[in-house]
Amino acid sequence: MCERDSFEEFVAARRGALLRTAYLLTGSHEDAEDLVQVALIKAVPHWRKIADQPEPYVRKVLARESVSRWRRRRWREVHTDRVPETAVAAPTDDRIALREALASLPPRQRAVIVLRYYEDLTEAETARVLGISVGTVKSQARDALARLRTGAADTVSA
Amino acid sequence: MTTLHDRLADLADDAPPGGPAPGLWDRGRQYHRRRRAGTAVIVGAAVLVLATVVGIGWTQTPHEVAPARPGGELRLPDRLYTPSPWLPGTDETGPIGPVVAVLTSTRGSEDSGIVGVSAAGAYAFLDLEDLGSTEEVEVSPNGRWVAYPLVGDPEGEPNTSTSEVAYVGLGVHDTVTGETERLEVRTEHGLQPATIAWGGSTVWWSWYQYVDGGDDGFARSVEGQDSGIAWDLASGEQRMFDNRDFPRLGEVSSLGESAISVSGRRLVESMIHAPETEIGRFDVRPELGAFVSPDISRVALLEDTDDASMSGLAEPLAITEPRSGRTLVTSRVPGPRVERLLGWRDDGHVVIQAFGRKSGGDYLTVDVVTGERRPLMDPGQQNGEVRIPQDVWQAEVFDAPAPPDPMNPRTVILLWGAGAAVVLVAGAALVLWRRRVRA
Repeated sequence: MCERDSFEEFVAARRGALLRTAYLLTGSHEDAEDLVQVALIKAVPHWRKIADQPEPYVRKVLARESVSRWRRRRWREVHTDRVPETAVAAPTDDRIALREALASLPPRQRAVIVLRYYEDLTEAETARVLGISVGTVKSQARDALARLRTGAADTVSA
Repeated sequence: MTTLHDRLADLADDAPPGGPAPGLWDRGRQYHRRRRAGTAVIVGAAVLVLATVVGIGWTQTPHEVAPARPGGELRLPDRLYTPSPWLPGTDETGPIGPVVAVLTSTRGSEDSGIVGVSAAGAYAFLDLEDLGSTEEVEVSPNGRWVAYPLVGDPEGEPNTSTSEVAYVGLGVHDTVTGETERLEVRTEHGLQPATIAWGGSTVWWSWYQYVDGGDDGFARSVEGQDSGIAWDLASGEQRMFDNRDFPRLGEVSSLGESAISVSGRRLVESMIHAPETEIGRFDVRPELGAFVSPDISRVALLEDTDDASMSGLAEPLAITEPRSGRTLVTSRVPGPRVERLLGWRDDGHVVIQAFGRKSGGDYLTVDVVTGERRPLMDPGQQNGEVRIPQDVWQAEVFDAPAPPDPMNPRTVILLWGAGAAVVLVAGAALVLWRRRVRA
């Protein structure tokens, strides 16, 4: 299989999962699609080396891009006026509260929460993906969880 | 109870749908071509910048870290240096063991790390996987292994009432091979590590097991007593103990393959197949632990005169001879009281740490007959704990070279940026001047 074919096969198979992660990282459909697109485009020059196991590299680019690009934006914007176009079910109060609480986190804290508690990476793996130390992962997770508990009502527990 | 993972997964259901995305491959190739063209421009500019940066006087000692020396001879550095926060880690340099000193120090701009010092005097951060706290690291007497509690995820909800992290086992890092052996204990809510101590190549580790999770500020543990294990890293043999049989280890010193500890007034020897053998009873109460001389003719200890073990105050140095029978009759060594007793230098001298008004804690030898003191090692200015493997105190002293002092990478980038700005401004000024002349 040539590189292009293996890349496109990967995109078809995994883009949905990447979009889920990207949506948690960004909070909006448009930004999530943009983020995944950027990550996949950046993976192309390295495809020969990563073709056997591309997911870790693509995830790394996704997470780091979410921090570096969106850091410049006002991360305190809360997307209360954006109802997902294809919601599986009507958003519950719980879901809205969590989305708003996530949106209130600084980009790196948000990335740590998504990688640790959605992707289920270890602290060491999260540190490697984000290019930070394990100690920073711990402190960012602690602060983020504290913010989430304050902002997302009373049932956020890791 | 719904976990955060469940709620995030539920929220992720709102994500846009996936599927193919045509055109990405071609756009990726275009991106690659643009980067290569841009890189060529940058490389050209960098050549100009380099001359400017060198002119600033940026010269650094190369990071040539000597490789690990399995079975290599231990040597005691005559002094320790303050490690730079920007030293490389062993993931980058490769293993440097056996280590002759282990220092807790600042790493980067905000974290704490463990620095190993090799027998050649090289300094590098030990990249210890899943390390929780730099305070709970213990190095083996021969400097080969570093043991520490492993951070991880227990089976259920972790108990974080006494710690921000959950512990799941013991890691032992081999400073010679760079490998880490992991001993994980499956629990519902995590562990509270208790003792980590070394006797020769055997690590003794005990823990409590939490009965519930969360961080409600009240940590309850199963049965309230230790479970433990003795693990011989040289042979691989492991022996599990239940809470009744695990020896009550306090401050431990090493003698051959034995762990020597003090329990009340009892001097106790622990080996993997004989976990608690009483050697004798002191006629005084020891402050913390006791050390047996290399020829096994004497035992050195600090006498607890204020009836407060671990008071931190200086106490009299005393010795005894096990040949005197079950009662270990002690005699005081002449001279000032001692804050910390660290081991034996040779059969006639012990090593102590003394804190004077001007001293940050010098390491000295003390003649156990005359009380004469001599300097042994200058610890330098350290911003964390210093651990010297016990066997190193008996090693030959060498003139330790200063380690590299790498710059903060951000400072390097700023210098390069400043240099580039100087070059660009100078170039622009030159172009304008030439145009003005032509006009």
